[in-house]
Amino acid sequence: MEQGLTYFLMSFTSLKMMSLVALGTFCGIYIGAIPGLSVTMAVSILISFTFSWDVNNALCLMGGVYCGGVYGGSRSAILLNIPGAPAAVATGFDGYPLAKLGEAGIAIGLATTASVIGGFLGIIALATCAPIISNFALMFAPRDYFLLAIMGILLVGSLAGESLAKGIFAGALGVLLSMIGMDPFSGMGRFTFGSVGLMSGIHFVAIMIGVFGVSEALVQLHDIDIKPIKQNLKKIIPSWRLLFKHLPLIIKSALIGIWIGALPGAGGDIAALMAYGSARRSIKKPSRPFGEGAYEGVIAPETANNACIGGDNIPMLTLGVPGDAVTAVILGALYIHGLKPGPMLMVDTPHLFWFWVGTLTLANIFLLPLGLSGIKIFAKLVEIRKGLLLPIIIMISVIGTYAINNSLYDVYWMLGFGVFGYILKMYGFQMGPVVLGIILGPLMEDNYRRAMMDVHHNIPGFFWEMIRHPLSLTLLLANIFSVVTQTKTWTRIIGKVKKLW
Amino acid sequence: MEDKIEHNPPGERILLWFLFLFSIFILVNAFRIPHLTSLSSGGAFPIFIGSVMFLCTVRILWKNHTRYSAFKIGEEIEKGILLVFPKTVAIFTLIVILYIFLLHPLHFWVSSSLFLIGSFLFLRAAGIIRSLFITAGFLTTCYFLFQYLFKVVFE
Repeated sequence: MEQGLTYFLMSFTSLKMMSLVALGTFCGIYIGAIPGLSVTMAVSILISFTFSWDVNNALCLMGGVYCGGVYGGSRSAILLNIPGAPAAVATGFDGYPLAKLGEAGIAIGLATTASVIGGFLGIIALATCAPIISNFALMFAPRDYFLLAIMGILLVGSLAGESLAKGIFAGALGVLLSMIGMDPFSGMGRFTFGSVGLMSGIHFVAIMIGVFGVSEALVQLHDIDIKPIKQNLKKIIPSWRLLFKHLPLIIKSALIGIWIGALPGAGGDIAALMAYGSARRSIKKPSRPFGEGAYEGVIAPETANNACIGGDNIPMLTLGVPGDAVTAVILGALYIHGLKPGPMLMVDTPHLFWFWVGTLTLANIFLLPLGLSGIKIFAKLVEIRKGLLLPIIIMISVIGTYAINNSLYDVYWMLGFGVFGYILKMYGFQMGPVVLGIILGPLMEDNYRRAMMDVHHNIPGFFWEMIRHPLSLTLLLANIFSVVTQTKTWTRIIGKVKKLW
Repeated sequence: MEDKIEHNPPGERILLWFLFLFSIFILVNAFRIPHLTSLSSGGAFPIFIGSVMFLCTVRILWKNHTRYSAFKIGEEIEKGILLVFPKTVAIFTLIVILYIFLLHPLHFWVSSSLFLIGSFLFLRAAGIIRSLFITAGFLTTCYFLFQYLFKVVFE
């Protein structure tokens, strides 16, 4: 316990680490706020730059960007009605009407304080629940990991896109990309087509930067001429009375955020929308009608999406299954630095867990002063033309990819995946499942092969083991449930049941 | 009709046929992975993944085949290209491709300067003088940030 506390406080006691967290949070706020720049994009580019860094320093910077970025999306949602991040979509429903009423300052103030409180509650949940879940996950057999990895891909695939089949295809494509190169069991080349360069595979950071950086920049070109509306900013810091009045809503929304985040596959965007929906249903007398500038409509989603950070980290750190695209990228970063998130993380490297919790806490502390300041400068910054921003994103993507191995070969792959990802995006294929597939592919394949070896390649035996063990059966049923609930037949049945009631 | 176009944009059928052929290619190559002797051998999982991709494309093509028939192939290709690569996107993509392929012969800093100035001008984000100043300022920042803080060694 004492050791855990020491590691928790590590980033608080080193000036360098504190500065990196502060810098990361500051940059995260602005990256998250500028439409066209996403936290996923920023973290994936950052991985390549922090390759050679000490793991603690790299995590400090990434933790800051992560926390700041999730919050930052609210600023452009309030000021411009353009959510800087998917998690801020719900914030714009009432945040922008508040800005139109001349209350942009108070809306940003409420969003900041709600985000900070939500973030702290999420971190408390992470610190208390993760060790318990991790102990439980030590009982997992290879077949359970196989089922867990499938669950991660299935949930994101079905939640993120318009079509389940497209989501599954995208996830399978990611798994396929992870298999290119040498077979880890036999050393045989797979999908290398005789190329020596492909024997070591395609670096997943190059793919991530391509599908999140380049392709997103190309998508943004479609609305290059949209001009932001200028806003007036007056009072920013909300009163204690206002905060205390909404404390029950903050706690309720934080619990929603933590719960949604803890489900593998559901991220801050869903948490924010669910918290907003819940507030809308449960609050009888809001400060103004919802959709017309209700304070509650800003507080609920902002609390939930930042509380979701703690929740998202629970499956990511304890099971090695990311909650959403951002945590998938962070999971990749941890792998790159030689760490293995999963049940063994708490056994092999418990210091890392407490260090990460401490970093997130510090980032949340920095979020309050950084979030409440520089709003007028920020208002100018978000007015930067996309024509200036997009070429800069491309150039940073090139530098980031080149930095992986100091090789142009990776840059060519990034370009290819950027253009291919852009075409897929235009036709409704989501990129989140692709990245999840790349990250979870090896976990899925290795454990499938181990599970098969355990039953001596006997297919009925493989399924019998899944049914015989309660844990495997639960995971199998959860997988079946997640597929069934995405079908139209299920939607029809639920619709009929609702009508009957 | 408008609703149909919104859900099945022109060109989707072409892309799906391409993905369909791609998944067959993957499947064939997965079967060719040596030592396919057991269910835990190196080729087993690629066959499974190839089959998933194949079935997904078949499912989407089958589900939407009546909607896709609203377009003739020639018309669909033309509309699809316009949808995915309107003039601005097409030219900017070409600029990016050119930039990346010029990185080696021209050196990073020269090609990046040309890329930034060219893109700013093409996207009408700034005039010539302003583009030059922004490019110089940004590249100087990049030089110090990436060369010294992140220790990236440029060619």
